Amino acid sequence: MSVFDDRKSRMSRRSFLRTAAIGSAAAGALSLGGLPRSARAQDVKGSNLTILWLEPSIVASKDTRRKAMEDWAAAAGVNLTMDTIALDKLAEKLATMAEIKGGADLVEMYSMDVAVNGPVMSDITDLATELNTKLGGWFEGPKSVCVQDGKWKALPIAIFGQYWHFRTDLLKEAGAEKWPETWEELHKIGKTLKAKGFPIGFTLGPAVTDGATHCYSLLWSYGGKEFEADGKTLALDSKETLACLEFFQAFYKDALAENAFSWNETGNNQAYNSGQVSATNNANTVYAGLAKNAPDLVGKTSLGGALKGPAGAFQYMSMDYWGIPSYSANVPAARAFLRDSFYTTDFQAAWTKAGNGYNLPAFNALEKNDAPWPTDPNLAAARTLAKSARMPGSPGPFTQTIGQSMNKFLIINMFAAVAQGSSPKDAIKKTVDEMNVILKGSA
Amino acid sequence: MQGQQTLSTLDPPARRFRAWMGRDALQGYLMLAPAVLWLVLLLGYPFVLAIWLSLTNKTVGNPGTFVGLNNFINQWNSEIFRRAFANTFILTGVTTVIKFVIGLALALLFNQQFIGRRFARAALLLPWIVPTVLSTMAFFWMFDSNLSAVNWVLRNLGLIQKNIPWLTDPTMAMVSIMIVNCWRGIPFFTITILAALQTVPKELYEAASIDGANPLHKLRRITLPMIFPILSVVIIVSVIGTFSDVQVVASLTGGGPQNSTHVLATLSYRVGLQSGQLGQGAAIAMYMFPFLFAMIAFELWNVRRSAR
Amino acid sequence: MTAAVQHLQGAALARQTRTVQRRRRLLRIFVIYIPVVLVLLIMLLPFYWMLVTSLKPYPEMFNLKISPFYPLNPTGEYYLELLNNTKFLLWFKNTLVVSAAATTISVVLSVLAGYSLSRLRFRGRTAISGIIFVSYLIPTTLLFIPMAEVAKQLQVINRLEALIIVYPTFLIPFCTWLLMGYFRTIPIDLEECALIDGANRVQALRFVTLPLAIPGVVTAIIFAFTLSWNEFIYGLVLVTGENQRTLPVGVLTRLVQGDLYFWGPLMAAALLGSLPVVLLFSFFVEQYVAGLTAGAMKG
Repeated sequence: MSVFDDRKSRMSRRSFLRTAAIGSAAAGALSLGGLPRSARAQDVKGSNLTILWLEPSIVASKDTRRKAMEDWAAAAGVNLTMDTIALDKLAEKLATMAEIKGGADLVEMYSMDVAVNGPVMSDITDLATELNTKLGGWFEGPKSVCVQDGKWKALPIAIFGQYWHFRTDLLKEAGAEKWPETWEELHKIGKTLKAKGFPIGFTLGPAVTDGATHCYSLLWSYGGKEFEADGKTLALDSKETLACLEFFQAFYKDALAENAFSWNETGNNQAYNSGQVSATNNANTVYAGLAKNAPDLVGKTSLGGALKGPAGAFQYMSMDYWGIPSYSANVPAARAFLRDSFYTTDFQAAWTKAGNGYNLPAFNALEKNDAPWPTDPNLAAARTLAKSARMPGSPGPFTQTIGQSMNKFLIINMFAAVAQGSSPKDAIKKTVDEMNVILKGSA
Repeated sequence: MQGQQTLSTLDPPARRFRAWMGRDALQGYLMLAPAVLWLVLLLGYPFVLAIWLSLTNKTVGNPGTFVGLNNFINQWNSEIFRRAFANTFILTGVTTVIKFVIGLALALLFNQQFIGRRFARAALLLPWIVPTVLSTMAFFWMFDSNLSAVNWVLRNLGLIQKNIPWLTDPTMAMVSIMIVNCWRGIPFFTITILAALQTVPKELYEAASIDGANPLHKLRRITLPMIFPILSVVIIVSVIGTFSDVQVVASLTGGGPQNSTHVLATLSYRVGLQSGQLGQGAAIAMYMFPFLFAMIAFELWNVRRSAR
Repeated sequence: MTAAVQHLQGAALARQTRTVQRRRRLLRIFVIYIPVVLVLLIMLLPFYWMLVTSLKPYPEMFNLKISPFYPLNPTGEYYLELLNNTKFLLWFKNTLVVSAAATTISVVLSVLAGYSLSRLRFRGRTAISGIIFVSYLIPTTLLFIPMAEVAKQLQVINRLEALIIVYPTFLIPFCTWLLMGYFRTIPIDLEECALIDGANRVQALRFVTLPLAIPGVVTAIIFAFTLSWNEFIYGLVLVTGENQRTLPVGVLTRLVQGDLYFWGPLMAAALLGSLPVVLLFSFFVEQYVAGLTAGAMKG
């Protein structure tokens, strides 16, 4: 409570002084976009800003963002163009824009896009450092993506919470009153449930997010990793990975849905909505969409947090990032937007609230405040979830090699191969071979 | 053909011959010019760039350095690539045969007179006309591992006990892709062959009937040879289209399960565009080129042969 | 032969003919009508599926206990959503404009090129036809980044003109090929007569060959239009703005968001996006067949 209030009053005083000095009507633009710094706003007044962003799945979340952008642009006198794009088309769009050196001034990117397009994004280390102080410190997870070659090339927009959705009624039948803490416990529960015809949905198909959220999380919980911290030494072939896969062999047979090999991003959603699985990990778009898609499951669904293994509890979460392309001709406007609108605690609090657990802030500043967090008891995990987020490549940086490895679903396929009968050693070897091809082909 | 022979054996006085040839050439070039210029100007640079890319290790935003044939050699070490390579040929080969046979059969069928023929022909065009990405999504939904309507029907007809893993099992996934590909491609074959059938003079059939030929004879001796030029075009175009198609595989399986249904085109897309490894992606795509080129060469030889 | 026997023979013959006729009619039903119906059923099943899905409320879509083949409580909300909340009609118009323009350019150029390559003899003919065909081989995955560069240079990036300029690059080789095939099946005698009578090549093409090749030209138009209508990658990459999108790109971008597929509107879009085109073509399909049987193949 106190930190937030102090900050707010401090900010209000500062901005009051500035606006008083200019005496503008900007103070009246009390939108969620935060009050513009008039002096700096004048720097960018009249400029154009094209933002390429991903339309979020949750409507309230989208509307809040959109309104903030528009309000800020109006107050700052910036001509704003907002273009949206679908996630699975973003990569090629960015690649094209990079090659023709034009297209947008501020782009929203997925993790892989940051790794691939890092060289084309401008260095915003100074902005990142400034915001780090203002926002109480960035979380660890996103840093491995944002910092490419020692420089900040992107800023985290939000961490999209990946929760374990589960059927409270089915788990109760299996003797579990609440979501388990460890993978071992889930294994036991899942065994009972699969025998009853309600296995756990563990994505093993070509789904970047949903596949990673299951497979990488499990891998890290056992201490497995793809690379060492230097990001260049392969570390997949280890006894931790072996232990993990051996656990998975039994886990799959006893507890998991057996048709998950074809699931793309929507596969586990559909499995849950049609009542085929008792639990699955996903962003809370499933939870939010239950009333529309599967009304009979509304009272029977709750959400749980990351599961613990021998090495701890880690959860893959998808994150989006802002980047300012170096070919942009409107860098000041882009920076102004980020600094004065997006990364203000006002906007962030309002936006987190609107998302209701979907988008979580990637920094500490809002932790002590109750206001931005969901009131729904099912979403209690939201408050602390983001801290356990890790990105592929962890503990090393998220590099282009990781990006390509994710695009080929190498880690997911490793688990899938084990599920389909390969020995863990073979699965590891095949994955390492493919990673070597990627490494050899890189610059 | 009769006419061509007449032309070449004309042997007129030298002046007239040269004028004739000259007139031919000038007109020939003029008529060709717009099309050729359009293609060369727009495709020339991209094509050369593509070849260059495949010989470098360029990634998005990085200029990359020349690496010769390293990309080509390196890719061969990847099992995913080898699988994609094989899949491309298997997919193209099997679907082309199916599309040709069924397309020909349907063309013969729809060439008959029957009530509602106009509606039937138009209806047949539907799979071809609806945008590929959208129709493939419908199939994705129909083959879904949980909610497949096809499985529902088969289960309720008592034909199967367990759900068919349309997209879950690597082999069935390839079959599903072939089904979608053929579903889209058969109208193409049918309509084109149908049009070609119209150009075969009915008198030939009548004459053959009088001589006592049965339908199979007519098919083999009259129909097929007469429509062969168009047939070969259709087949080659379909082969090239299937060989380099991205949409069906990408929308239906995304290359999965476990990269078992990738074809060269989709793998190139994923590695090159979506992962930013432009050089490697270009190399994967270039692997398609020799085979496509061989097919073109065959078609060119065909052109020359029938022009004689 | 007595009159009685003749009469009997006549009656027997009549009976035989009737039997043969009945058998022939039965045969027609089995050999023609049943296969046609079966074929149409199989080919059109996915469309029935699309129709049903576009009318089903979401809970029914995920309900495994009911038949997936008819909606229990059909709803028109997806169509309304599509037409009112998205720029579907605009995308439809964009695609129409682009396809029509690209088709016109391509078919005109291809008729000229196809005629030239199949009828005229001149040095370099094989080489040039080689160039045209080779251009068809270049995989699209390689092309669209350099193509975006070209579009930028020509200052048409992000505008529909970019697509109109780029689409002929894959339409022309295809149409040229197709038309060459058709031209080759037309006997050269008629043209020869025209030429001897004093017409030049273009006139011969226009008044003699082209009318005979109408089925080919119509086929080329149909396919060029359909390929343009269907095209996805260039539409995605060369044009960003929501107002400039073509139908497949606009629909997919808007109705697929991460792991949320809006199946209802998606299927509605698939149907609405193709029905009008089909109606248009059904008219053409009969056109050329009619034009043909009106006596093109004389002589």
